[in-house]
Amino acid sequence: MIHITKEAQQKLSSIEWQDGELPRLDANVTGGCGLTINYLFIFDQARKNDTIYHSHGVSIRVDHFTKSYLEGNPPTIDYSDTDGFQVINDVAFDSC
Amino acid sequence: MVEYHQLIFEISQSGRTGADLPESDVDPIELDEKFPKHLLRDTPAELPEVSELQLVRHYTALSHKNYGVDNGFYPLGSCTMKYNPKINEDVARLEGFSRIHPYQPAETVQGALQLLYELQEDLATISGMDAVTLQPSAGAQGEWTGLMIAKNYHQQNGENRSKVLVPDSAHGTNPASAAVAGFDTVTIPSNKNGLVDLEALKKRVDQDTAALMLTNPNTLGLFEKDIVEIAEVVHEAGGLLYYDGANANAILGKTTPGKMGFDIVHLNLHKTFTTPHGGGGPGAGPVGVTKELIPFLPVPRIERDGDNYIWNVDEPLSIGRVKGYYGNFGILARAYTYIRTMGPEGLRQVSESAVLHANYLKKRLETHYESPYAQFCKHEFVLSGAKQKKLGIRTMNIAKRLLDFGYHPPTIYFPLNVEECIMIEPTETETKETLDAFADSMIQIAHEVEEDPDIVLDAPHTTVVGRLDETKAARKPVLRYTKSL
Repeated sequence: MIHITKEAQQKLSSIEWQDGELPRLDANVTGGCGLTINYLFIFDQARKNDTIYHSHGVSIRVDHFTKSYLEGNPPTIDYSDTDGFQVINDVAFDSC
Repeated sequence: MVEYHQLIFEISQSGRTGADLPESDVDPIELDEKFPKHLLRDTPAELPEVSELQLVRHYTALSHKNYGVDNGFYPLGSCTMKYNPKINEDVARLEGFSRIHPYQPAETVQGALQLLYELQEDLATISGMDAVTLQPSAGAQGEWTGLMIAKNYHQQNGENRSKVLVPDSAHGTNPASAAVAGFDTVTIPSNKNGLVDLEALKKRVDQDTAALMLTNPNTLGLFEKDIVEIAEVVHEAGGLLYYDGANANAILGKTTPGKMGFDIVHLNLHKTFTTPHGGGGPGAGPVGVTKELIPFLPVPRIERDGDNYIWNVDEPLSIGRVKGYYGNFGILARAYTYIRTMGPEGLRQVSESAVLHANYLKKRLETHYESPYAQFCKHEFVLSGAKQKKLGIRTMNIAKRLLDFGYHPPTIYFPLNVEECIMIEPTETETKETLDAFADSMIQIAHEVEEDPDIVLDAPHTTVVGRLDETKAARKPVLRYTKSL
C-alpha cells in the first residue's frame, strides 16, 4: 500500500526516534472549489484509529482518513540529500 | 421502486413509447440520396424507450435527489446560499420581459432598458462606484473584465504594469483571473489576526503593481480594518484597488467599497442579490468603476437621453464587448426585483442579520471546535478541525457526517491558511431554530468524534449513496455510459 525507495528506507532506518514518535504519511486536503489531496511525510505522535505499515524494517503510521486514499493508489516515499523526504502521488478531485 | 435508481437507458424496453406520432402525409425520402453515406448510422441510435409515466417518474425522482436552499440549510461559506424569493421569478417571467428579443429596436424595449439602467444606478450606489456595466455573466468574468479595465487604464497612461497582488486567503478565482488577463500574481501573506500583513504588502508593492485584489470582509469573515491604509499604499505606487464582491452580503448599507478606496468592484448577483446559483449559468457579475475608469468600461453602455434609454457603442477607449447582447437579462431582472423589494433599509437589515447569525453560530460552536480567530466575525467565520484531527477524524469526515443530519456541509479546506478548515456562512434568511438545530448537530458530531468515532468515520449513513471512491473517480473516471457496464 506504500512504496518506499531504498534511499528512503536507509534514511528512516538511521533515525533515532523520540518517545512515541514515528513517521506518518498524512493525506492533506487543500481546496476551495476543487479539492486536492497531497501527501505529507511528517514525524509525530499516534492518533486514534491509526494503522501502522511495516516495510523493510520501517514503520509508518497512517490515519483512517489517509488510508482510504491509499487503496489502489500506492504513493511512493523517496529521499534525497538535497530535497529530503518526498511523496509522489497526489490526487485531485471535485471541481466547479 | 428499483427502477427509479436506474439510468433511463437501463429501464428502456424496445418498442415502448411515450408518444404517438401522426401518420406522415409526405412522401418518405431515402436518406442515402440526401446525405453522404459516411454520415449515416449503420445501426439505430440507442435512445431510451419508455412510457410517459416512466419518464415523469424518472426525472421527478432525479429532481428529488437534488439539494438546494429550498430543501434545507446550506451554510456553504463564501457562497452566500441565501433564499431566493419567488417574487423574483414572477417578475422575470412577465411577458414584457420574457418575450422580448435582444435584437429588437431600442425604442420597442424601453421598459427593459429602464430596468437595466436603474439596476446599474442601484448597484453603483450600493458599491460606491460611479458607473456599472451589467455585461459580465459571472463573478469570474467580472474579475477578468475589471482586470482588463485596469490593464487598459495603465496602458493608456503609458505603463505596462505586470503584477497583480492577491492575499493568501483570496478566492482561487482571483489569481486565475489575473493569469487569464496576462498578469503575474504576487501573494500577500496574512498576519496572525487573519488580516492582510501590511508590512508584507508594503514590501511587495512597486511600480510594476497593476492592482491589489481584495475581498472585504475577507474569506475568513474578518473585516480588513486597515483598508484605508492598504488603499493608500497601493495608490501611492500607482496601482488600483480591486474589490471582489463575493462578501458584499456583510456590508450592504453599512459601508461601500468606494468609501474604502476601491477603484473597481465586481458583485456576484447570485450571492448577495438572490439570483439562482447557476451550476454553470446563466449568471451575472456586474462591474463598477470610479469615474477615471468609466471610458474603459465594455460597450455597449446603456445611457439616458432625455426620457429615452439608448445604447452607446461609441467609446474609443472601451475594452470592447465581453458578453453577447447585454448580459443575462433574466438574472438581472431578478436582482433588480430583490433590490427594489428590500429597499435601502431592508438591505441594511440583510447585512446586520447576516453578521448577527454568523456570530451567534460562532459563539455556539467555538467551544467544541478550534476557532483560530477570536474576534467578532462578519457574515461568515472559520473553524478548524485540528482538535478532531488528533483523534483521527478529519474535517472531511465531519462534513460527510453532516449529510446524515440533512444539511449541505459548509465549505471545507478553504481558506488554505487554516488547518482542516470549516467555513460557515449561515446567511440572514435562516431562522434561529434552524441555526440552533445546525449547531446542535455540529456539537453532537464533536461528541461523537470523542465517544463514537466510527459513526463519523463511516458517514454518511442515510444518503442514497454512501462514501464514494473519490480517488478512483479522479484516476479512472467513467464519463460515458455503455451497456456493457
